[in-house]
Amino acid sequence: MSQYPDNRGDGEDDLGSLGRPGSSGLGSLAQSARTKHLKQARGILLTIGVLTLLFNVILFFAAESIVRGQIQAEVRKAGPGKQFDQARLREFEETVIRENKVVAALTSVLGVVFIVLGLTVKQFPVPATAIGLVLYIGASVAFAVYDPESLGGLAIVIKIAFIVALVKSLQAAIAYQKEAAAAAAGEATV
Amino acid sequence: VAAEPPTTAAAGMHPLLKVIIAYSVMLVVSLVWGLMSHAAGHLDENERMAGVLVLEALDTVVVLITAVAVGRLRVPKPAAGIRIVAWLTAPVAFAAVLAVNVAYRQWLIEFLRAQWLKELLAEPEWSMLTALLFAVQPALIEEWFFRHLALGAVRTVTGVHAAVWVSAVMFAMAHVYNPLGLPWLLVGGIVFGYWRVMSGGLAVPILLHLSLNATILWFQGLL
Repeated sequence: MSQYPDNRGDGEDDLGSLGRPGSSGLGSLAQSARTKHLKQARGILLTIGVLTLLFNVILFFAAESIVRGQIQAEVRKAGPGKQFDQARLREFEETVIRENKVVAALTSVLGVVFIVLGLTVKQFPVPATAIGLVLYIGASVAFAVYDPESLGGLAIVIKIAFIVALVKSLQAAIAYQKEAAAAAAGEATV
Repeated sequence: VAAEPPTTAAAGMHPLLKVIIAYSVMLVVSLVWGLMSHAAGHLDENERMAGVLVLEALDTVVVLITAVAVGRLRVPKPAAGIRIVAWLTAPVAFAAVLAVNVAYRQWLIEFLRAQWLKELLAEPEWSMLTALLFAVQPALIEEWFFRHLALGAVRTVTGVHAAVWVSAVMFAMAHVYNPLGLPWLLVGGIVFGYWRVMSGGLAVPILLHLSLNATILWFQGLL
C-alpha cells in the first residue's frame, strides 16, 4: 500500500510524483522500470553464466585432445627430419594440458558465480549487479590482454551492450535499495 | 560493526557509479599496457619498470580524480573495543594472508609442474624503486580506492558484508595481468576489507597491504 494515499477518492491513477516513492502514476512507472531492469540483469547474468560454464566445462574435458592435436600438428609441420626429445615433449604436453585445465576450471567457477548472482539479484540487487558488472568488465579485459582477438568484430559490440545493460541495472538496483531503506525508515517512524 | 551506513551529500550520479567508471578506466589502462607489451614482444627489466611506473602514476591520477568527484564519504567508526581488537589481531590477519599466498603459489607451481611459472610469479628483486612500486604505492593508492572509495560507496546502499565482498571482488579483478593469482587476491581483499571496517580507518589495511607486499618482495629477492 502506498505511503501517500490518494485522498481524492475517485479511484483513478494520478500522475504521481517522483517525490512520492511507491505512489501510483509516475512513481509506479519508475518502479516498474526498475523491476524491468532487474529482470534484465537477471537474464544477462544467467545467460553469461550458463554460456561461460558450458563452454569451459567442454574445454576442460577436451583440453587433453585439443593440446595433443595442436602439438602433433606442430611436430608434423616441423617435418620428418626434425628430432624431438620424446620425454621432454611429453612433459611439455602434460604442463600445457594442466594449464588449460586450471584456466577452464577457474573460468567455470566464474560461470557458476554469474549464475548465482543472476539467481540472487532480487534479494541482493546492489551487490549482485555490482559484482556482476565488475566481474564482466574484469574478465573481458583479462581475456583481451591474453587474446586481443576476443574483442574483435561483433564481440566488442555485444560486450558493450551487456555492460550498458548492467550499468542500467546497477542504477535501478541503487534506486530500488534506497526506496526500500526509505520505506523501512518511514515504517519505523510511524 | 558500523551499523549505520556512511552518509554522502553528493547529488546527481551515485558515488558507486563514479567508482565503477574510475575502476573501468583503470582496467582499460591495464589493457592498453598489456596490449602494448604484447606488441613489443619481450621487455627487459628496465622497460618493464618504466611501464609499471607509468601505469601506477595513471592509476594514482584516476584515484585522485575519483576522490574529488565522489566527495566526502563519512564511514562511521565502530566502538572503541572493536577498533582495539582490529589492531591487536592485525598480525594474525597478516600471517593468514601470507600463508594463503605461499601455499597457493606452491600448489600452483607443483600442480602445473611448470618451472617457468616460478619466474612468472616471482616478484622483482628488492630495491628502493621496486619497494616503492610494488609495496608503497599499491598499499596507499589501492587501499584508498578499494577500502575507502569503493567500500564506502557500496556501503551507502548496502550492509557491511556486501560492501566488503564487492570491494574485494573489485580488488581481485583489478589484477587482470595476474589471473592465476585471483583466488588469493580475493582472500586478501576480504581480509583487508573486514579489518578496515573493524578498525574504522585505513591505517590497518594500509599497514597490512604494505607489510604483505614488502615481505613477498623481500623473500623473492632473497631466493
